[in-house]
Amino acid sequence: MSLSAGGSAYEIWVGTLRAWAEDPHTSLDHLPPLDERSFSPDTYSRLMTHLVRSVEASSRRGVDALSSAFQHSTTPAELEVALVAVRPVLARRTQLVRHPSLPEPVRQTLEDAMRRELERAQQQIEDDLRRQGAGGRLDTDHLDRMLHVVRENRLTVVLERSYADAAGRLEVAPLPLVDRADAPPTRRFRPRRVVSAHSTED
Amino acid sequence: MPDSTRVRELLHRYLSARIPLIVIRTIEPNRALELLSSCASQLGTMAYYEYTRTEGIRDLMSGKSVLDEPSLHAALDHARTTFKARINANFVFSDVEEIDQESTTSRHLAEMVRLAESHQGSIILISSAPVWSGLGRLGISVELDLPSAEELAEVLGAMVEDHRGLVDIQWQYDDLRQASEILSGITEMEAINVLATMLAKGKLVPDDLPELSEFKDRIFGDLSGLQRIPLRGEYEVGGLTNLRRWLALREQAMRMDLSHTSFHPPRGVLLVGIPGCGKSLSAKAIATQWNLPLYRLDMAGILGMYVGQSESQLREALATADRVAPCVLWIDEIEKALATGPGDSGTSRRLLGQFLFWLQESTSKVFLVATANEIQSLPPELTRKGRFDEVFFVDLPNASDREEIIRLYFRRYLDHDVAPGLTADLVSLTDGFSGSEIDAVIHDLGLDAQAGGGGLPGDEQIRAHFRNVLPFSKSNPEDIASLRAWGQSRCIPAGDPIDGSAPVGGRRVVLSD
Repeated sequence: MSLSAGGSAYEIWVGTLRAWAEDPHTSLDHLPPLDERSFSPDTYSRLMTHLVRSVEASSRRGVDALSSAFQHSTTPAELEVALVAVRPVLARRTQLVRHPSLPEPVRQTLEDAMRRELERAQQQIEDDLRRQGAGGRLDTDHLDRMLHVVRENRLTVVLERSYADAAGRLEVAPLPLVDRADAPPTRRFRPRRVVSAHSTED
Repeated sequence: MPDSTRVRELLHRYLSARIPLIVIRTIEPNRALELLSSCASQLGTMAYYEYTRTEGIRDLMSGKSVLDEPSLHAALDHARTTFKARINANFVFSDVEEIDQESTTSRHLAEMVRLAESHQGSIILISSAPVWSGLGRLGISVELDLPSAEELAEVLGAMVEDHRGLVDIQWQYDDLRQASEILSGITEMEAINVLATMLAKGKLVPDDLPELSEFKDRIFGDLSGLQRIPLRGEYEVGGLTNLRRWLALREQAMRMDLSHTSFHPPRGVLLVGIPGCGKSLSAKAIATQWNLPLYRLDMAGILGMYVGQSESQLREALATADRVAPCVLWIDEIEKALATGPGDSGTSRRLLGQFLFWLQESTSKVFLVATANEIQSLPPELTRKGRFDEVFFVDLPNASDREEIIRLYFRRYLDHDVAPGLTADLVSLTDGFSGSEIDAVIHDLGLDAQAGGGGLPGDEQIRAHFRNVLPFSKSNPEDIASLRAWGQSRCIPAGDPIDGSAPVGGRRVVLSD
């Protein structure tokens, strides 16, 4: 969904944030740059309140998605699928908090808050799994594998990726830069060279 | 099974045909990736990405990281985006767990294959195990066998050449080819590891070749069903001229490169005859002479107590023999497991069928030396022409053989030569003795001499020891007659007839350490 860019910057931001809080697929592309000096302090404060509410709505969606992921995942593979499926939800929040139209201090504050929240959620997930293990609901091997999956698919990964579209998907793999038509086949092994006492490092 | 050239051709065709799922069955993912890279360089208009647990997603050709994340499902998510955005994308996945049965991962992959198909994409799975049928049916599978001797020769040859000048390398082309044959049956990486270990000694000489078999044994660890027989001494078979002449020709065939001919390597011999006449020694002598490792397959040990266990153990043992080839496989008293009769509930017959199938179909350089004592119980299928290359009959030693054996064991156990006047008497007294019976008597004499202070026993005492022994041929003359009658009609004599009395030729075994 795209909002008209016909209103004031405030109206565009507030309208988009409200829509985005309801539907995270709402496009953020048209948001105009924000500058504290463009608004009165009260107006700017109200706008920040809208921003925080939208972020909180996104956070709740993320928590719900994570809860659902855990409820329906009994095997490591199911958990991995679920954790990867949660990423687009989390990634939408990344797109907002990193939006280039936000002032840098705001971006940094929101991103730091998001990172802390994800790290806390990550820790809670691991603790919860350990509690299940201690309570006998997961055997040691299963617990280790579930923990491995959770660590391998850590939530903070969404802060390390760039996302291409409103669906929050990862970027498409880049096209190869080299023309492979004439490229020789790649050897998988480096030639093995025995090391002697007299060998020198290249 | 197809070799790597054939697999490369197939992969090229599958990729060109945009098969949405290509499964490469192999235990060597690196070799599979190398073949794929080769195809990718020829089909360069498409994009190829590979996923591994350690590296995430990389560009197959440049190795450039695309997604530095080990999660398989994150990689699949990435592939999904790419498939949707672009046609003709190829994603290679190796080390994927739980795809041999219906599971979350295999179902997820199946969904991805369908998505790939709708965008002309391909998913290439490299797996050591078969994939779940629901997934496998969406594409085509190809099996990449272990590297052939020729492929290994190429890889090892490059490595040897790379070390010339740094290491004292005395291997010539034939040595390299022989090394490759010995190492065939292991992976390319394992072969490189073995050669690197050899090179680390600082020199590489033709005498190192037998050591390769030892490395190979270590790689295989527990040789299920087979026992490696250490060849410490120098075994030498004297006499048995027919057998020796025949073996000399087969030795050449064992060394020849027959891969591009329609000939199969020698299958082996069946040695039947009188117990204690050196049939087993012949196996050791052949392995020593041919410089090949000797493995013993204990047929009695193959027999298991559960239904199907014996067949399974024999299959495993024969598969192991194929893997450790080239080698000499010694099956002692083959009749113990393969003799068929009314009371065996069919197990022996199934074992026989399995054994004959292997004998017929195996193309590895496993030279079989089977021995049998109770030849009457051998099933006729086993001895008919075409099963073994030849069936030889080994008879009791004749007079000159006995003299040589007596001298040999005198030197070994008594540290003396036989007194000149005594020799003729002992040869006469040992008429009808087998080589092992002569061995046993002189061994006892040696023990007595040790107990008595080490002096040589008197001639009369020596004669008495021999007189006190009733050889098998005298205690069971009817058995010997029966064996000889059987051998005369069905076997080639292992030696030339010397004594006239011997119906199918004499034999002489000389063992010297």
